[in-house]
Formats: sequence, C-alpha cells, structure tokens
Amino acid sequence: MRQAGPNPEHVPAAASSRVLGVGLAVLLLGTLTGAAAEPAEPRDDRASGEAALLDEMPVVISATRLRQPLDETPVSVTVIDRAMIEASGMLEVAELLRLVPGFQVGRSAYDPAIAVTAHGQSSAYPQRLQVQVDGRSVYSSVLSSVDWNNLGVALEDIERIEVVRGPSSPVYGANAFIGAVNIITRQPFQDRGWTVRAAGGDANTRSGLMRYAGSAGALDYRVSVTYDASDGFEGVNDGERLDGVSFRGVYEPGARDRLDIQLGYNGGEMGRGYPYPPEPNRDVERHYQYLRWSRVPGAGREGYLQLYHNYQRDREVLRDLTYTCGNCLLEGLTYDNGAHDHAAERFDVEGQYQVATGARLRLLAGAGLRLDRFRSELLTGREDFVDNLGARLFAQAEYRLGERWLLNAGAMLESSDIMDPEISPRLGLTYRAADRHSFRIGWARAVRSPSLLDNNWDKTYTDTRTGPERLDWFANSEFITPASLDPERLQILEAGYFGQWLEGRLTTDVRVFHQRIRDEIWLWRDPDYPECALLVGGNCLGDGAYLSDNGWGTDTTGIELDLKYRPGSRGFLSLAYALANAESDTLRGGAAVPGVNPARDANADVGTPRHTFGMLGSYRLPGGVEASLGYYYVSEMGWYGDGRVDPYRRLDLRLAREFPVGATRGKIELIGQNLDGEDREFSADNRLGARLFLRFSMKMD
Amino acid sequence: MLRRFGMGLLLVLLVVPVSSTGRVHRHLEVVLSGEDAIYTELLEAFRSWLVDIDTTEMTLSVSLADEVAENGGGNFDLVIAVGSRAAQVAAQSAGARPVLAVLAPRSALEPLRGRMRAPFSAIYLDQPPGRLMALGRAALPRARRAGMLAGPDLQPGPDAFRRVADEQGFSLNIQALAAGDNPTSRIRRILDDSELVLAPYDPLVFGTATAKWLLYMAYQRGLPVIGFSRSYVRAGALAAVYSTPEQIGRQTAEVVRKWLREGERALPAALYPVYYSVEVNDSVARTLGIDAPDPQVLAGQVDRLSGGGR
Repeated sequence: MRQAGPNPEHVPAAASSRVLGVGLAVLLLGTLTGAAAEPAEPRDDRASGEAALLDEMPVVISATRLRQPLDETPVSVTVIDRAMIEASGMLEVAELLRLVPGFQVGRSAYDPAIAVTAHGQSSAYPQRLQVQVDGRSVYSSVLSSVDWNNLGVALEDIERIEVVRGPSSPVYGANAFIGAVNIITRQPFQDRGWTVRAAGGDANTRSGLMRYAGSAGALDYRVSVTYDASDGFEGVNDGERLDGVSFRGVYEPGARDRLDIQLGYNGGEMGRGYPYPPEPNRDVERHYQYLRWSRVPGAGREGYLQLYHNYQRDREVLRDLTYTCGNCLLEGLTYDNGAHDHAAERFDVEGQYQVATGARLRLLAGAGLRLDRFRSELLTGREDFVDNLGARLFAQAEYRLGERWLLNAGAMLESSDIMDPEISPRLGLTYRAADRHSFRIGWARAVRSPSLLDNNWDKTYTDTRTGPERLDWFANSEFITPASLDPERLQILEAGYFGQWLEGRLTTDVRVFHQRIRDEIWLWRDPDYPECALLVGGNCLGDGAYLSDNGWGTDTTGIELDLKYRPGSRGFLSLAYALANAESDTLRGGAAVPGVNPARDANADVGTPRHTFGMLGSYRLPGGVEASLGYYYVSEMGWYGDGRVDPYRRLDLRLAREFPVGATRGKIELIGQNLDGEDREFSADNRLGARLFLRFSMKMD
Repeated sequence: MLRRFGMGLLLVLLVVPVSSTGRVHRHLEVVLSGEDAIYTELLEAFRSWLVDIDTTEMTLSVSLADEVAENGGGNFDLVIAVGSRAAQVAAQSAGARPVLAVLAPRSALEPLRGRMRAPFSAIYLDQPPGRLMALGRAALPRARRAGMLAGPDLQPGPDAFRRVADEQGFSLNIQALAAGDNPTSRIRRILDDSELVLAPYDPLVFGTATAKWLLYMAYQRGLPVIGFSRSYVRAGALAAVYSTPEQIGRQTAEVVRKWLREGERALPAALYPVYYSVEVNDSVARTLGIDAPDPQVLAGQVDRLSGGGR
C-alpha cells in the first residue's frame, strides 16, 4: 500500500555504467587468470595409475547432502529443473514460480515489486515465503518482501529451483512460513568457457549476459555480467535498466573440504511504479558477499559454516503533492518533497551439522545469528537505522521405523529484539506402500516474526511550504505502527501421496491441507487516527492513517497436484494445479472486529484464487527444432491494497533451434508470451498484452 | 624402515648356511613405488600367502623404487614391481631379469612392455570390462542403454567395451574425450541418452576433476554410475567392482608359487585380477530409487554373468 508520488523526477544514475565497467573488468581478469593457470591438469607422477584407483576421492554425493528421495520427504517438494527453465521461455526468475502448484505471481505497479505467493492472501509485498539462493536469503527490509528484481543471480546460472510447499522452518529457517523457495545455482564447472546470450523484444526489452567459467588449480570459478532493461507495463512507470556482475568460486583443496564463495553487485535505475512517464527514476544499488565452508569429516557426517551479507540502497526523488480542496484551510498545502534515501543490510552467520548414523537415523542440528538494519526517513520517520538482532536454533531428525515407515520430527527456536522466543515444530510420518509409492501425513506450527518495517512504520507528511502560510500543526500520517507487534501464527495439517508410474516416467504428487493463520499483520485503516486534526464544517481534515497491527485470521483448505511426465529425452510435460478455498475474518485476540479495513474486506472473498493452473510441455521435433508450450490460469483474485483482477489466462509459445557456429553451437529462440489475449496482471493498471521476444545464445567450450 | 628390513634379510642370508636340497634357490626382489599403505598392504598379503615357502627355496628383498632408480637393480631371479613407478624403474633397470608388475592399471603397464628385453608379466589393477558390464547388468536388470567416456589411452579399447556391452544386453554410447576437450559437453551427451553410466578407469578422465563432474552430473539426472574403485563409490557412484592391494597381493603370491614350481614359462603375459569385491552406496541407491542389493549377492551375480572366477 505504498502511495504518494505524482510526477517523479528522473534521477540520473552513475552507478549503472560503473557496474558494467567493473563487471567487464572482472570478466577479463577471470579469463586471463584462467588461461594462465589452466593448461592440462597436473597429474601426479605416481598417480597416473594406482592412486586414482586406490586413493580417497572428494565425496561428491554425500549421504547427508543427498536430497531426500521424493517418496520420503515429509513435505511436498516441486522441482523446476534446467530443462523446464529453458523450455518455459521466461525471462524473469519470479515467473518460473507459476509452475508450482498453488503459487501466484503478480507484477505489481509499485516499486515495482513482483509478488510471489502461495494461495493468494497477499499484497504487493508478500512476506511469508522464504526465498534463498544457495542458502542466502534474498529478502529486502526496505520492501519488507523478496526483491525478485535484484536476486543477484542470472537466470542462466540457475540449475534448479526447489520449492517446499508448506511450512518448513526447521530446515529452511525463519520465514519459511507458508513455504520455501530454494534457488540452486549451477556449479562453475558445468559451463566452462564462454557463454553469451542476448534477448530483445516487446516492452522495449533488452537483456544480455556474458559469462566465463574456468578453473585455476583446485578452484572452479564463474563470472557473469548481465544487463536487463525493459519499459514494463504500458502507461505505468515500472521500467528498469539494471546491470550486474556476479562471481561464484568453488574451491576444493582436499577430499574433505569445500569452499563456496559468491559475490555480486548490481545496480541501475528502476521506476517508482505509477502511471507517469516511463522513465525509471529510482537509483538502486545492491551487493552481497557469501561464503560457505563445508566439510565432510567422514562417511555419513557433514557440516557447514556459512556467512553472508546483503546490502541495498535506493535513492529516489518525489515531487510535491498538493492539496486542492477548493477553498479550505489546506488549499495549496504541499507535502512529501524530498530526496529519499533508503538503505538496508543483513548480516547472517549459520552453522549446521548432519549425521547419518547407519541406515536408520539421520540427524541435523544448527544455529544462526542474524542482524537486520534498515534506514528510511520516508518510511520510518527516523534518520537513523532501525535494527533487529536475532538468533535461531534448529534441529531435525529422520528415523526409519522399519522397512516401510519413516518418522520425521523437527523444530526451530527463534528469538530476536522484535520477537520473544518462539518454537516452530513439525512432525511427519511417511508410509512406503510399495516400491515408489508412498503416503504421508504431517502437522506443523510456524511463527513469522514481524519485519523491521512492520514494526517501525511512520510515514508522516508535513507541510513543506516555507513561507508564512505554512501550517506547522499539519501532520498527515499515512502508515504508522502504534505499538509493538506480535508474531503471526500458523498451524497446518496435511496429507500427501507420492507415486511413480510407467517405470518412473510419470511422477505424481498430491497434497491436501488445512491451514490456519492467526494474528496476521496488515495495515489497518483508522479514519480517525491520530485524533481529528481539524474540524472544518463538521468534517475531519487529515485522512486518518493505516495502522500496522495484528488481527486477521485466515483458514485455507486446498488440494494440490504436481505431475511430471518424462517419456524420454525428446520432451516432457509438467502440470501444476491447485484448488483452494479460504475464509478470512478480522480477528483481534479471537474476537471479530468487522469493517476496520475496507480495502481488505472488499477483496476478502477472492483473496485466495479458487483455481491455479500451470502447464508446460516441450518436445524436440525432428529437424532439431524444440517447441514448448505453456499455459497458465489463475481464477479471479484480489491482491490486497490493489483490487480484484479478472481470471488470468496466458498462453506462451516457444520455438528454439540449435545450429553450429564454427566449432561451437548457438541457439536461437522465438518466445511468445500471453498470446491468447490481454490480461490484467496484479492490478487493472497493468495490462499485459501479447509479447514477442527473440533470444540468441552461444556457448564456446 | 623397509630398507633396514631388507638389510636384515640379507644379513640372515649370509649368516644362515644354505642347505642344498637340490632345489634351486630363488632371490626375489620386491620393488615398492613408495612407502604408502597401499604398497605395504600388498607386500604383507603377498608374504602371508607364501609363508609356507621355506627360505631355502626363496628369499625376498624389499626396496623402494627411488633407491633402485639411483643404485640400479641387483642380481635377482625375479623382480616384482609394485605400483606404476616401480614398474617403470624395473623396466629400465631389469636387464635380462623377468619382471612381474602388479598394482597398476593396464594403461600404465602396457606401454612398458616394449621397453623390456626380458619377459614382462603383469597383473592389472583394473577390472576386465566384462566384469564392470556384468555389475551394471546385475545392479540394473532392466536397463538397456549405457554410456561412457573414453580417453585416448583407455585400455582395452572401445571395441572391447562394445563387445561386452553387447554380451550383457546393453547398447553402449561411447563419447571420445581428448586432452583439451571440454569434458562436460561430452558427459552431457552421454547422460542425454543413457540409463546408466559406466566408468572404467581411464587415465585422462580420472587424472582430473572430470571424475568428480561425471558423478555430479549423473546424479543431477538421476543416473547411476558403475565405477572402478571403492573410493568412487564413497564419492557417489552407485556401485563398483574393484580389487584391493590384499587381493592383488594374494594373486601375486599364487603366480610366484607357480613360477617357483614351473619356472619362467609360468609367468603370464598379463592377467586381470582374479579376486575382487563389490561395493554399493546405499544412500545413492535409495535416492535413485534402486533397490540396494547386498554387495555379496551382486558379486555372485557378477561372477556368473562374466564367467569369471572369484
């Protein structure tokens, strides 16, 4: 519900070209180092022989690093693999989540945020999904949501996305409230050499990637430089021009240790998101550093220590808003002038240790410390940083009770300056009915801490005029947090089935669940807050405010289906479907208080879309052309604060062809999105018409 | 330590009178590539399987390859070279004496054959292709398509592998890998079309990080890898058939015993290991949805399918 901002002014961004320059320099450096250090791998004299057969090797697939087989996980997991990412023709990472049963993706008009949520119940800034890139959270305190536009990783560098549907704090950490999205990037060795990719098309979209991956001794590394620009929706100021550089290095000095280093920097300009001239007017800058040291001391044991730091800075200039009420005391009053400077950072350190004792028991335990800080005078009314220091402890056990039964138990204990200690437990039981057919039942409780912004709202406008006409008593609070908030609480009961058919070619996962959330944190409209500032002719001037408070409850019941059919290497079909029903009510401490939030109430009946469907199929035709088709449908849905959207229907088509280019191969793709007709995305202002893109890529080994 | 032992043995020889029973007394030299456990384990096993042989019939002298390289070989009836370095040194300095090279892969030993004037005998460390393929068949009874990487020094050559694949009912997709090639694109081609990956020992593939990548990429696709060593299984291969230094040591002892009875003609040109073990990675098997069979059971099946002796 971030309002304000009429004619925003363009802020020239110096950061953008700087990033590109730095990126190219790093790329060049990387190539030179690689070329210098990389002739034939050195071979041990004595070891061109028996050492390879008899010496120890680094454990690549450790028992505990193993994914749990899908028929044994206590939760439903949807995997979006590289083949699906390519076939989808999506140019944005967030859009890939349309392939997850029950997930909705909405490109909002504000900021411009991209909202990704499960079973609706969301504004433009959903906070209930934990999103990580290789274990590093990509959450922005300024948005109080996930910053999908600035993940710091190129689409081409993603190997797979694993989505856990359902709360899973014991494993995925705080904020894995309704689910967790784990973006796993490719190992540097997978893309050795140069890769170049360029795309262009409608909405003035231009994007490019240049990547080099090589090795220097025991270090495999990859450097990617990206550029993304687009005008976004027509008539909405949500364009962007972003460039970035990211580095990943994996260093394995011996058989037991592994060091994973990731660095990223991106920046540029983004629009503020209102129907104003489509010039981006917000200067954004992001960077992160990540380090994970893993050690496999022996068979069945593994631990890691991970540190990361995220930093973001947004600078924008908004012009004045002016009161025009035709002869009233506030006539001509201007407010919200200023250059706004928001900054946020997160420091996080986490350690985890896993043990697989024999074939029966697997244990995992860990602890972490996190510091979140954020400064935004516009949003908090303060010039200094607000911060929150938190700690967490978590553990999980998996125990085989015999041939067919598997018991899973876990819990996370969390505490911070904002939230008193809370435990989020989870229990699950899996029954393997037959080879590759299993049933499971689970129960979990989860807690979501109020975010820094939830707890520190103070967006108050004052009269910015400087002359004698200035009304110094005028204070129009738009968003306020009157008192400290309680955490949100969730309880869920779910049951599922996982089965493989047709000799493993068809995989099905069905999940039914009943979920209750209480003490939801929203912005509640209070027309009389703080007190009526001025009575003029019986009318209260000063619009009231939105108060950040707990007090909404939602019960959601649903069924999800995840189907994957892979008949051979020529193609695949993926189907995701969810049917859900939600009932919401204003509940403060259990008692209903109706009518307090008209915006929320108006959309409450469609806060959760009834049907969500996503289908993607791909087939390699004879002649070397690969054709893929995607179809996505979401029922009528209300995004809180932004109104209802008609049913969303989208047909995507993609044709791709590989061809030889000298000694290497190139690929050209024609991508058509939303070919079936115009839709509104997220709000009535965001009109999504048919879009065509052309993409070219080349890999040089 | 070994040198002292060798010296001690020589001392014993000088002090103890040699009884002439009419049997020829043979001096054997065992040259170890180094002091690592893999070599000493073989030596211990070798000795223990010949413990009944009287010192009047045979005596053993142990040295390190580096010493022999420096000082040249002594006057021995048979040189047993343990490891590829020892084999290289022995081939150079053996003169007319026969050499039995053990505990090194075929690709390391075969090139030395041409350099020798005297008989060169070898017990390879790597398994015959038939055995590897049989393990693939035993572990995955319904699979039809297999794939593998082949460097230029793969021994035996690709044709031998195709033949044994055919015998076990597999079609085999072999991707050639040359030094300087990008292995990951070759690996991808194998993975696109196979249900199982065969990983015999290949000096180009396994001297580098390629081995690691092969495991990782195969695992990402959910494809099992059948490998050539226990450590490869621990690293993530589904199963492997391999021979330990003890097992090679035992076989070496048997060859030497035969040689003591029958002389030089008993030395075989080359032998694959007779004794081998099978190891399975249960966790990987579970994740790939393969019923992890008992390694002993698998070994028995490999026996039968490959027609080889244990």
